[in-house]
Amino acid sequence: MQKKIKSIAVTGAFILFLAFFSVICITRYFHPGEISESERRPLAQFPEKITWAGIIDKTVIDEFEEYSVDQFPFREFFRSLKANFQLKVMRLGEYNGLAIKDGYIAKIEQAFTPELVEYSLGRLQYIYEKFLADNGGKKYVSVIPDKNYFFAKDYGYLSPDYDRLVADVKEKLSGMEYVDVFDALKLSDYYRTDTHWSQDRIGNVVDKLAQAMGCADRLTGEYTKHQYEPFYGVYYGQSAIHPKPDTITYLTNSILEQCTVFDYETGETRGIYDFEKLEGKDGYEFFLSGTKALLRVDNPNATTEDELIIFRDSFGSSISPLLVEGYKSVYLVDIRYVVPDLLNRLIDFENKDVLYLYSALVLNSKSFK
Amino acid sequence: MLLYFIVPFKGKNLVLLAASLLFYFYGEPIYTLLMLATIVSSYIHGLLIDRFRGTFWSVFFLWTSVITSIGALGFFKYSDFFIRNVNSLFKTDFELLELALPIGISFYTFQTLSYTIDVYRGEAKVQKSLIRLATYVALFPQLIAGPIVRYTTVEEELSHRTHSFENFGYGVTRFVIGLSKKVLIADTLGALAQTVHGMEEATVAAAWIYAVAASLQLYFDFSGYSDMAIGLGRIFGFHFLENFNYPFISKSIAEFWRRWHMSLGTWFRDYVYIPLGGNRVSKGRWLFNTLVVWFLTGFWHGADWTFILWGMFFAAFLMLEKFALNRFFAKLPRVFSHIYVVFAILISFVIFSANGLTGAISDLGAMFGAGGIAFWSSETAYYLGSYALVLLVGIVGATPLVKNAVLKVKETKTGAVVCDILEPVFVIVMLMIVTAYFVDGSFSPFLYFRF
Repeated sequence: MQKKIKSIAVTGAFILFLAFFSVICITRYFHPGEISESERRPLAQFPEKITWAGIIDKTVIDEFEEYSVDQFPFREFFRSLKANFQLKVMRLGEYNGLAIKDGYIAKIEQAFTPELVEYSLGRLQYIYEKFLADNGGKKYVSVIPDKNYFFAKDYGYLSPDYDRLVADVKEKLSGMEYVDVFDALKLSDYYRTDTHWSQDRIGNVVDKLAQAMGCADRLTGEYTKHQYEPFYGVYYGQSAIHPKPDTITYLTNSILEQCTVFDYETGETRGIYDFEKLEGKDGYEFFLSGTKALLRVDNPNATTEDELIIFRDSFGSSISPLLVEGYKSVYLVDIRYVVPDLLNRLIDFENKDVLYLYSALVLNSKSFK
Repeated sequence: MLLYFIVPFKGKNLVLLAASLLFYFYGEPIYTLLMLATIVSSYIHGLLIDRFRGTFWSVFFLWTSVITSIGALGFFKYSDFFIRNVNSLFKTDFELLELALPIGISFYTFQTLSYTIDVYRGEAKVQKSLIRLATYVALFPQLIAGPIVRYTTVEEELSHRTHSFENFGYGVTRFVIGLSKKVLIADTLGALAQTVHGMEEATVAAAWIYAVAASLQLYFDFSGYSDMAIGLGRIFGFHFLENFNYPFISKSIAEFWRRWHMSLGTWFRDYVYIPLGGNRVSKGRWLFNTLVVWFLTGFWHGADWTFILWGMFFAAFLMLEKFALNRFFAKLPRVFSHIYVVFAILISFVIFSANGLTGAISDLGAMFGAGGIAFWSSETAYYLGSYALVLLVGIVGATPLVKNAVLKVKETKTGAVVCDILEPVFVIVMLMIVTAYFVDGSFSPFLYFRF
């Protein structure tokens, strides 16, 4: 009797499970989701054309499988369940390539891809040789480690060969002075849920760069801190574990407040911080309005005529405001969004100091392609 | 499923057949026709063998049945293997056919063969209903990755089977256990095997981790699928035979093969080994019979020399056991025979999983430090640490420890009640977790799909 009751319970549970998700799946068919906010990507839709040829060559089936996985009801709940099961029950070190320790999330990489690094450095070398080698200014290069560098140091995770990366940078860009900022950083200087560093915690990096570039005595280093929360970094959704969101802390003083930012693409002039972006999908775009091909930050209170050109990725958006005090103008170039050959039509390189400031993450990516 | 349980019994096979064909069509649209042709061929051959029983024509139709089935399997699975070898041996330049392997062809070919041979031998009655025979061959739970269900096993149930909550409940639990073994353990160990195999700097320890992970992956993948097939079969009232019985606890290779992929082992025993004379023959003939069976066993698994080598590896160990090892290990504590079996099995699965013969040599070499590779590295330590618990679960799960513990608990009245209460909870929790893996992960086919 007891066995029969158990069998009925198992049968009932299974049928309820199937029935519940079948009904929700049917409902979902009529109201499909458009995008996954947490993964920042569009969700697959039901195959548009169901043709005999498509069925035979399996493209329809492949599309349907993608659709059914993307549109599965309670997808976020299930992603979270898997992440927690893998990390907390199975005690795996990573979930979909992300490691989570003490609230910090990092993408774990075993190794840099030599071809990608070589290509990125090749592009930077090309710009150096074309515009900078004989421009009369001083040239600096610095590499920003990813959080995985500190995960390796602090928690024993695997890490790509940063020594090799730095050696490659020094070799390829031997005409530039390399500024080492690795020891000026620690894991807590980065956002917990994002790839980037937090502006209020990179004072040591600013000091190192400023000293190397000879503008340290022009920086006051005195700021007022402001905070905005919540900030959901790029790993917040990817990690699926719903960690505590971050806080964006930004720094202001009277000099920064009077600086203007000219956008070469739109011809608009704005302030350093873009408050509208705080409410957007990527709060980090608050710094200098996010990805921009070419910007010029003008400091009307400058005590020098020196100008600086920073070739940068998104890490440069939050650190460059802290260097602005030391210059009359700071140009910010993102060569991922502008054809390098045209740069001399927009910027006069003559006698300007140049800083290449790139994260290892971007150097080891297809961004420059 | 709803339709299956609603319709009266005489319509159930039709519903099951339609669902099975739809299921196969979803994965293999074109080759569904091939499977249907195989079914019709077996059906007609069965009728002809029975019609001409006791005459030359009965033997004739048995052979045409065997040649048709083996011919289709050979054409789709082995053509390129033969062309490649002929090209390499005779320096010819025949073009490869590059045919996609029809899913499950090795399984359903052996099932249809078992039907016609058993009809010829008089061990099975001829099936006069095409729907029933088609239901047997196309039955979706075991269609694509086994076990090889012999016709005689389900002969009665194709006509009369009972449906009950007991069957359904048992089937669901068994299905969920199989699905969990595949998704949670096999796939995770597969990821470990792939990662350590692809490490830039190979180490001896990593090569052994690979061997353990790949072996356990194969076990949990295939036995998981068999559990699912047995469970689904039970839901629909069929009782398929067990296909695995904790093979890693074996004390000899012979015992291992009585516990691993049992449906394949018994198939070769009954349809190849015994007709060849089995072991009641001279020593020389027995050696020949063993070599033939294990050559075919290896070759059944794949059209590659690594699979043939894998089969021959077992043949060699079976011979060694018969002539020397069994007597040797009988004098030693049992733990030594376990160690020997596990060691041989790990080596065998490294060969099985290798990318060609060169890959097999390289993988085996790495296990013994060939090329002066380091024993250990920080990368090895990281992966071992990261997957330690899954490996442990895999190792323990490959033994009857958990099953025995549950049975022990069930011996007491309270324990039995607790287990009965927990079973539906377990089913739902595991279904949720497995669903989470499907929703978040990419498609991950069963390893035995390719056989």
